[in-house]
Amino acid sequence: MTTQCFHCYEEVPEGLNLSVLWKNEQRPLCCYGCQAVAQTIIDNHLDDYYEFRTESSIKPDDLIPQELRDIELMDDETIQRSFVSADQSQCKAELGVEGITCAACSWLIEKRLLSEAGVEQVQVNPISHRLTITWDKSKIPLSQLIKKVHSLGYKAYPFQQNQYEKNIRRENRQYLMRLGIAGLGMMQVMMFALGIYIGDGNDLQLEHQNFLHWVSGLVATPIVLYSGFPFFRNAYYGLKAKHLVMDVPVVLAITLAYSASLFATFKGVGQVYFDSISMFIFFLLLGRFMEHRVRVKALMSTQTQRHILPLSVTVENEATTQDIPLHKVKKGDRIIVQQGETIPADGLVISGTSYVNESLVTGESEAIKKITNDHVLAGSVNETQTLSLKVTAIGEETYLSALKNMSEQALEHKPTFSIFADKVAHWFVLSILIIVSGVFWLWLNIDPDRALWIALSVLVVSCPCALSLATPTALTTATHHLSKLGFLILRPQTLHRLAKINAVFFDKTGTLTEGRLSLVSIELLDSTVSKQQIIDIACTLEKHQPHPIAKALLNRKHNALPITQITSHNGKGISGVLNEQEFRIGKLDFCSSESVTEIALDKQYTQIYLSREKNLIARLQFSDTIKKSAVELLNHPTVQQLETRILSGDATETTQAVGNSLNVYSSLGDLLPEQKAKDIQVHQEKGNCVLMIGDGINDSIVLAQADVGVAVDTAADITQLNADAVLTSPNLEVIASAIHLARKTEKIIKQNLAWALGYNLCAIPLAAMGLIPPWLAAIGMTFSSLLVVINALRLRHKAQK
Amino acid sequence: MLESFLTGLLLGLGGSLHCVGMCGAIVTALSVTSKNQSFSRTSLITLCYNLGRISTYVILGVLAGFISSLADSFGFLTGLRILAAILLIITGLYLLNIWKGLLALEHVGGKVWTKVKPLTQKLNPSHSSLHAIITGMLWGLIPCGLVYSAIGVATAQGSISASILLMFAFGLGTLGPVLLMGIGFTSVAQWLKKTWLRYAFAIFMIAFGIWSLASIASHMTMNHSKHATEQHHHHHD
Repeated sequence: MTTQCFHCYEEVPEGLNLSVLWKNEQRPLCCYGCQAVAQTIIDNHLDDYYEFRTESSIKPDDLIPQELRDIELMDDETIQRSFVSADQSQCKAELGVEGITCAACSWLIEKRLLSEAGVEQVQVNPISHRLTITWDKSKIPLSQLIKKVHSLGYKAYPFQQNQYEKNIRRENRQYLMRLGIAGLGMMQVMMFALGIYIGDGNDLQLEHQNFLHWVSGLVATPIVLYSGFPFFRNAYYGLKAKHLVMDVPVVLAITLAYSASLFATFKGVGQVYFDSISMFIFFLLLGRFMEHRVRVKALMSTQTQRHILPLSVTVENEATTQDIPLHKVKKGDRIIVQQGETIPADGLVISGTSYVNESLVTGESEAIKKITNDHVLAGSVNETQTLSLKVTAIGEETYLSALKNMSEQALEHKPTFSIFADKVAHWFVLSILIIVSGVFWLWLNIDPDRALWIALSVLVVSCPCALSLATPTALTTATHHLSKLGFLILRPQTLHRLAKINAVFFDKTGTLTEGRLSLVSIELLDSTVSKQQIIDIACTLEKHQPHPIAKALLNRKHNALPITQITSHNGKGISGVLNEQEFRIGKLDFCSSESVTEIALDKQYTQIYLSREKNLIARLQFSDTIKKSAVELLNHPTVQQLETRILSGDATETTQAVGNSLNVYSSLGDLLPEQKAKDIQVHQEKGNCVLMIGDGINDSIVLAQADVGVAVDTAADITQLNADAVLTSPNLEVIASAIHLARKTEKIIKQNLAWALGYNLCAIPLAAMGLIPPWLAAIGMTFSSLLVVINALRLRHKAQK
Repeated sequence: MLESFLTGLLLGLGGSLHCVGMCGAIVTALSVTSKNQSFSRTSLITLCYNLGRISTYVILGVLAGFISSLADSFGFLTGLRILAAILLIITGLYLLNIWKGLLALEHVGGKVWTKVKPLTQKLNPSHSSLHAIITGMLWGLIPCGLVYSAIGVATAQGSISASILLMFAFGLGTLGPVLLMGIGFTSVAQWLKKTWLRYAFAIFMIAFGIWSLASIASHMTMNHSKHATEQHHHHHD
């Protein structure tokens, strides 16, 4: 039997005795080259490589029962339908793989799977972490193969995508194809050009030169027609809409240069520009591709949310339990989530108490205690005890899904700046075309031989691509990073306005404070009622209110009373009728008609009164704690430079107590939502740009009035919010980062515009004087576009700081 | 000159069929030890490493060209061309697994490598791109039969510029597959390792060698000593 080379797996020639010592064993090698490489790898302590590619050394995480169940389920035909295409027994599946860090990983997975009987083809893409496998279903089930991948220490999951992602991916693939063809073709044409250039010095015969021109033209044709197609398409649609888009001069340059070169090749005389055209198209595409990549990358990360949900769910039915695929679960089903498992759907806890980690959904890394009647979100992990849940939303209706859709939409916003650039572009392009015709006419009179290429150079050099690329790249990068931090932008232009903010207004309860009030004391002001009666009345009145006070009350044991005509009085309180007597709960002036002086107030508590026929019968005191991240936010250098103000519906005293302890510039209490909005309007009329942070439901008109309204209430349905952005993370400090990043983004966009315009202003006169040949013009234009894209990408690092 | 370029490119492309298993591993090894690096970072290091490797080839091309032009002025060029043709045939036989004579040459090269190796230990290419370039330059000296046959062909070119161009083109030819391998497209290697591809290239090399030998022979029988015609003939090889 022949032995295999330890290093490269080639056969070792007979009689050759080369080896290397690794892990106390002599390993055979096939040649001196491999010996040198292997020895050096080991001597340089890079031998992790060998370690890595031999699977035995990797310790896979133990599969949790849910995962094992999921993997077995993957053989189910109904489940396979979504990600496997089958042709009789030959199947092809696309899987996502988690844990790939480098080349050796993909190498290892490919090798391991190929060694299985029945596996025909395996491809692992290290960038997209996608595994494509073709295998014979009759020889080996898919679950077996997936377990093999797991045994190597990676996680494979079925890869499904929605239509939107499919489109993006198709676009991506097309870009790559076009780019690949342009790139390969460009190299070819450049080599021919080099040949002609070298030939010039060595008196290459004319027919040889002509031949090379012909071949160059042949290679350049698909580049122009296929790779350059998007430019033609954009220019066509632009012109059809009577709009001079940026691609018009591009197309003009390509067409002119291409036809002039073809003509010269036919005639055998004149300049041939096939190399410049190929280069021009390649680099133009490259710039656009980079911009596109930023968006795809951002999408990919929202994509990862998809596979975090398990495939199968344990459903409880009377006394029996049963495992069914996730898509068969219905609203109202009772499901069981074991410790360590991922919660598959939004739901309400029916029984059990457990700590749940919502970090994948909200970004909060600390586990949250969930008890009966608490809401849990799909995608969070149940950490400590078994929970029994009632499903309230599945699939597309879950909070996780809504969040994902919103972040996708945010990435698609057409930013103001690019609208601005489009408007400018129209005039810009028009003036370029006029300049080019002028230059062409001028040179036609001075030196007709040079007129064409000089006109071409001016066209290429002035290509406003940098203008059209810079802004979207910067905005996508920033938007994406903010959504990763937990600041989800819902409307276009939010970033732009956020950069201009000079005042931050806060709601108090639930925003700066935890919003989890607890009832501290009940003071009876009327001796005819008992404490329990007070609680019963208060609870019944507050039953369906979203306010934290209602939640605090409803935690108490209470009996529902037959109260009718329950009405909420917009921020002031609630009234209802019991036994033909009107009961009111709420602020002092709402409950009592006379001006009663408040007695022995403890400022740190929130006070609520209960009245019967406008006679006070009880005072309830609630306490609330200030969020830790609120302190951090207000001490953040970015926020300290801004005017800060609390606008609260709670009593002025309590509001001011919170404001003082947080060092807020001013605090106003006892405000109705309309009054809050009015206050913001007054500030805006003074020329301030106001950021309002508050409750998405109770403060919705306030958020709408502010220049930027940020909702902090994650429990609300985010699709219904009247806000510009949502803070999905419970960490308020993210807001400071958002303001900071928005400003950086604005700065970078301005830098890029300045660069693009400055560059064109300098380069156009030089090109018009005939000092820049077309190929140099193409390089200059490329450099300029890539520069702005790279400058925009710097935001990524800024965001990480 | 164009011939030098194309010959080098083809040798490099064909050579990479052989060396992805060997050289590709180096970069992979480097990236394994510096885990959790971003894809763009790995790509940059891979690129730098390969640029370093190509610059070593270019430097070797300068040396080969120097020898070549020296031999040319003393009238030894035909001898070098015969040697180069034989080297091509030997390499072809090696790739066909028929005769492993090339190993002897690699063995000599291995001695050089033992002197170079200690230098590689002082560098950590994942730290900076400069380190990666220098590492690439050093690793370019790995004993490899295909590099030797390229050098052989380079010494038969007759001028320094042609030799440099040939070695540069050789480097370019190897670049694509090794680069792709390095950043993780291991399927490239799966494909390149197809035996028929390797054999086809080996046969091409042998044919190229035999054809060179034949043209030298016919050239020697036809005109014995005219230097000028040889120059002309050179264009048509």
